[in-house]
Amino acid sequence: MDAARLKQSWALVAGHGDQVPLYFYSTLFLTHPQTRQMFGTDMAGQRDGLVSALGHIVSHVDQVDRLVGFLQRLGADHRKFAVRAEHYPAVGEALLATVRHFSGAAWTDELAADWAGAYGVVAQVMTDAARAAEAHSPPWWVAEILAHERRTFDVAVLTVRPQYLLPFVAGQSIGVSHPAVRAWRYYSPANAPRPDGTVELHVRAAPGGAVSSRLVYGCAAGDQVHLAAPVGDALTLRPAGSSDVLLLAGGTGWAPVKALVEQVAAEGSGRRVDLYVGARSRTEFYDSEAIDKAAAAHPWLRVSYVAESDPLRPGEMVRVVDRALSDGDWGSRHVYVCGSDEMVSQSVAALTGAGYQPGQVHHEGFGEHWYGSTWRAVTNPDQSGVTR
Amino acid sequence: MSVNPISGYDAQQVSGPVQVRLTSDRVRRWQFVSAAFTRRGYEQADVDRFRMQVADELDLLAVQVAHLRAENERLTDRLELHRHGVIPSADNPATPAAKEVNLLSAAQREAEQIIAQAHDYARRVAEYARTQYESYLRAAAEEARQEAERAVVEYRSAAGQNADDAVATREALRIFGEMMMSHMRAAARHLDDGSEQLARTMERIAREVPPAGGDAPPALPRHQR
Repeated sequence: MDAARLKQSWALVAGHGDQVPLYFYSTLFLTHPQTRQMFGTDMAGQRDGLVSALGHIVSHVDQVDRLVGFLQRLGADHRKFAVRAEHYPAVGEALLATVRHFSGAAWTDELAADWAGAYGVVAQVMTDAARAAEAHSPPWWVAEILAHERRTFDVAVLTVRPQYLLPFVAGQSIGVSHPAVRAWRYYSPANAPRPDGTVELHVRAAPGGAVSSRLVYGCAAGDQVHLAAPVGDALTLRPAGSSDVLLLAGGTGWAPVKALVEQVAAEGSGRRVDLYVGARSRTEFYDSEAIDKAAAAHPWLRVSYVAESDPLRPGEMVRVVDRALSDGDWGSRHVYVCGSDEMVSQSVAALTGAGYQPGQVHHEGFGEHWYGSTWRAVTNPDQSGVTR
Repeated sequence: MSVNPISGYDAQQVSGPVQVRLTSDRVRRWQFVSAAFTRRGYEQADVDRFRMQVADELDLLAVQVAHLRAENERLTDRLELHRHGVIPSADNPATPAAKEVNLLSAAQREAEQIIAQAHDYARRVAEYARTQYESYLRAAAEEARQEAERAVVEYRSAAGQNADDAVATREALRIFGEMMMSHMRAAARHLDDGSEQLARTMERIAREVPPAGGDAPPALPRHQR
C-alpha cells in the first residue's frame, strides 16, 4: 500500500466537501437498505464526523501503531449503535464506490487496491476490538429511571439504575439514549460511583434536542433509558494530584463538578475545595438544596453562588470566573471548569490572562465528541456543551 | 460563532489541520454572537434572511454539481464502451449509478432542511419565552415595589407621630413578598399550560411522522422548485 498516493487521493476527494459523505451514505443505503434505520433522520452533523474520522485515519495510515488505539476505541464504542461485523464490508463497498466517483479520471486499479487494503486494516482492528470488548462490557447498559424531578422549566434531575454495574470515574461522561430515539448524548454523572450503582443525571432540554427533550419532558420513574461506556478523562481529579482545587460550574455543568466534590469527600484527603456555581439567574440554581447540604457537611468546602444576570439590572452580566478571580489568588490550585462552551472558553481565557498555566486548568474539549453524537445523531441543537 | 470545529476523540486530539468546510447546514445553524449594547451591528432579521438564502443557494449548487458529476460519469462510461467495449464502472454491478445516489441525497438534503427549520423555530420560541419571562419578572418586581412604597406612605400618614420604622419595613416587605408570590403563581400557571400544550403538539407530531429508516424514505419525494 502506497501511503503517499492514498493521502493524495484523499485530498482530491475531500476537496468536494459535504458532497462526499452525502454520496457515501446514499450509496450505503441504496446497496444495504437495512442500514438506514441505524441512523437518525438528520445526518448533517454525522457527515462532518465521517469526513474528519476518515481524514484522521488516512493521514496516519503509514503509522498504524499510532492509529490502533483510536480505532480500537472506535470499534468498541460503535457497538452501542448495534454495529456488527457484517456491516463492515457494506461500509467498505460504499466507501470505495464514493472515492471512485469523486476521483473521476484519477481512479486507477492501484488506487482501488490501496483503498481496499487500508479499509481492510481499519475494519479488522475495529471488529477485533469490538469482539474483545464483548468480553468485559455490554454494548450498552439498560437502566431504569428511579426518580425524575423537573427542577426548572427546562432542567430535570434523573436518578437511574443500570441493570449491570457501569464503572466510571467522577468527572467522566456516559452516553445516554432513549429506546425511542436513535441518538446518543453524553452526560456526566453528578455523583461519585455509589455502592448501589445508581447514577444521577442533570439534563437541560435543548430546543429541538431529541434526546434531551425526551429525557426532560418525556420520561418518568419506571421508564428505561440506555447508557453507554464512559469517556473523557479531562475532568477527573487524577491530574490534580493531592493539591487543593478551585471548581467553576455553570448551568448543568454543575453535574461533573458535583461528582468531584463527592469524590473529594469519599477520598477523605482533606484537600480544600472552593466552589463557584453559576446560573443565568437566581431562579435557575436547580440543585441548591444539595449544594447547601454539602457546604454544611464539609468544612473543607466553600461555596459561592453567582447569578449571571439579575432581571432587575438588565444588561449587566456577572461571570463565574470573574467573581472567583476577584475573590482571591488561586495560583496554587488546580482549576476545573465545566459549563457551556461559551462559559468554558471565556473562563479559560480569563484564567490564562491571569497567569494560570494550561496544566492546572482542566476542562472538556469544546463541541462534541464527534464520534459519539455524530455517528447517527442530530448534532448541533443538542450539543452537551450548549445544553449545560 | 457557535459552529464548533471538530475537536477530538475522547480527549485524544485528532491531529493535523482539520479543515472545516462550510455546508448549507452549518450556514443554517450558525449563530452570530450578538454585539454589545454600545456597538453597532447588522439588523438581526436581515442577517437571518441572508443566511437562509446563502444556505439554499449552497444546496442548489451542490445539487447541480452532483448532477453534472453524474452526467460526466455516464458520458465517460459511454465513451469507454465505444472505445473498449466495456464499462469501467460496471465492474461491480452492486454499486448504484451516480444518478440514483444523487436522487437519494436530494431527498436527504430536503429532510434536513425541514428539520433545521423546525430547530430554528424551536430555538426562537425558547428565546422569545425567556425574554418574555424576564420582562414579566421585571414588571412584577417594579409593581410590587411601588405597591409596598404606597403602603408605607399610607401607614405613615395614618400613624402620624406613632409611626414605627420597623413596622413600616415589615409591612413593605410583606406586601412586596405577597405580590411577587402571586405574580409567580400566575406565571407558573401560564408556563404549565404552555408546556402541556407543547407536549400535546409534540405527541401529535410524533404520531404523524413515522420513524425514518427501514423501508420508509427519509423524506417525501422532492418536488419541483
